[in-house]
Amino acid sequence: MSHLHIPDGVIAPVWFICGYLGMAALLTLAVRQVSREEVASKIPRLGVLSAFMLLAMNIPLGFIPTHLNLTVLAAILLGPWLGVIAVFVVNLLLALVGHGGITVMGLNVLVLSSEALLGYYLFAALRQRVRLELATATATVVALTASLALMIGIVGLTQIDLLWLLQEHQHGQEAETQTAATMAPQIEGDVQESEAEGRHSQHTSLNRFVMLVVPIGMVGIVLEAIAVTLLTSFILKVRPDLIACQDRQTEKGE
Amino acid sequence: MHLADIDYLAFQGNSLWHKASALSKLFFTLVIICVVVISRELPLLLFTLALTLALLVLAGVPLRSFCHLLLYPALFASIFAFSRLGTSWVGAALVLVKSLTAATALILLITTTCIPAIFGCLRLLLPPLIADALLLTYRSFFTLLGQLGSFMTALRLKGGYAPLKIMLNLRSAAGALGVLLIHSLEASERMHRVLVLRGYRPGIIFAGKWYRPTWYDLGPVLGALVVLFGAVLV
Repeated sequence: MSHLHIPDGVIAPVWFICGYLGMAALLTLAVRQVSREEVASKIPRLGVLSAFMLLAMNIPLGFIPTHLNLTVLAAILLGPWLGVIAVFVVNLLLALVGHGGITVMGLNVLVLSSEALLGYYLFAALRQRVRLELATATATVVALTASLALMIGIVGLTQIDLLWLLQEHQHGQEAETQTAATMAPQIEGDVQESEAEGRHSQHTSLNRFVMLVVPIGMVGIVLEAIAVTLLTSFILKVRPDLIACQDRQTEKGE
Repeated sequence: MHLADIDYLAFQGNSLWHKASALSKLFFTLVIICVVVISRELPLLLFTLALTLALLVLAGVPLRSFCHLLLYPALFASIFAFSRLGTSWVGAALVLVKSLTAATALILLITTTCIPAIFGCLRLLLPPLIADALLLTYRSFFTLLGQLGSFMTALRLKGGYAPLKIMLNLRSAAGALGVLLIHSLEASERMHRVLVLRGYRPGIIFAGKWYRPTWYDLGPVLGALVVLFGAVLV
């Protein structure tokens, strides 16, 4: 659920460049980690599960304006690092069809990768201690809540740039009608006033954003947790060997 | 998402834009995205949007079937504009036009270019493992799409889907997805055996020619230059 639907051209270049750099670092790390495993055996599964994530997003859930993501499920079945690569692949395809801006793709990959990594490690930690259903549901809820918080944090961080964008636009228009000389005496007072106004409006607009996103996000988290739990318990009944944590434990046992 | 329709259009289209290479169209898209990111001038952005929409029409893309792909980013842009810009209509219009322009450029790219050709260009930037994963995902998507379509039809026919019953929908969707997931994972195991048999190593899937410049490339390149010229003038 927690991927950014921020349109292109809204956040300042510095933020999406940071997002892309973070994504590049994460992918490099992921590829290095995966190279140690048997690449040929995991690549087809990675392709299939990424396609499966894309398909799950297409399933209508009635009147609720949300869709399944299955990031935690992918991480459970693929392992954390292949889960990160699956997140990248899915996000790239989504960005190409306009589902989330292409410029925010780096940030999206970082947010959803946190979901995959946290979900996997929580599931692995809880798997032996509690029932599978509870472990899956807890891992999904915690991972999705954390990624939702991360998404809101990113929106909060980048907010100032949107106001700057608007102010720049207005200043550009003003500059055409006023000369620099007539504006000079006003500048000092205006700066202090606009800074205070800016802080207030940032706070108000972030609150409004949170009020819009959190209720939808919470519904999405509950639905995703139910779906992931049902799917994981189904797989465990039919093909328990497919669960990534199970693989590791078996390998260690051997 | 209508990836199957997009794929059909990209492969079957015969316009001049379709005939241009993926690399030139990626260049055009990159220029549009850069203008969207950098420019704060509404007239320039409106001109760019009009140009990309005109190119979509000229490329034979049925706007009626694909307008929802444009409405989707527009919807989120308007929520974003409402939540963050308050009552300023200029700022809201700017956010809306920017999102529409970027989405139109991307839709122009994917409806006129075969996605494997785009992946072919991206492999220059991506590790071979990820480039292979992209192509396998794309291939698997269409295999699974057919199966999911049959599952969904069966669900509807047997009363497993009702727009207002979320729990029923979720239970049915999870059941259908569970069976589909097991089928797809078994298919991936078969694919693994095929890859091993053929001596797979990362990057081998994209081996071969991926870019041949043609005169048709002039279209996207000139289009990009017109937009760049407009940006410099404004």
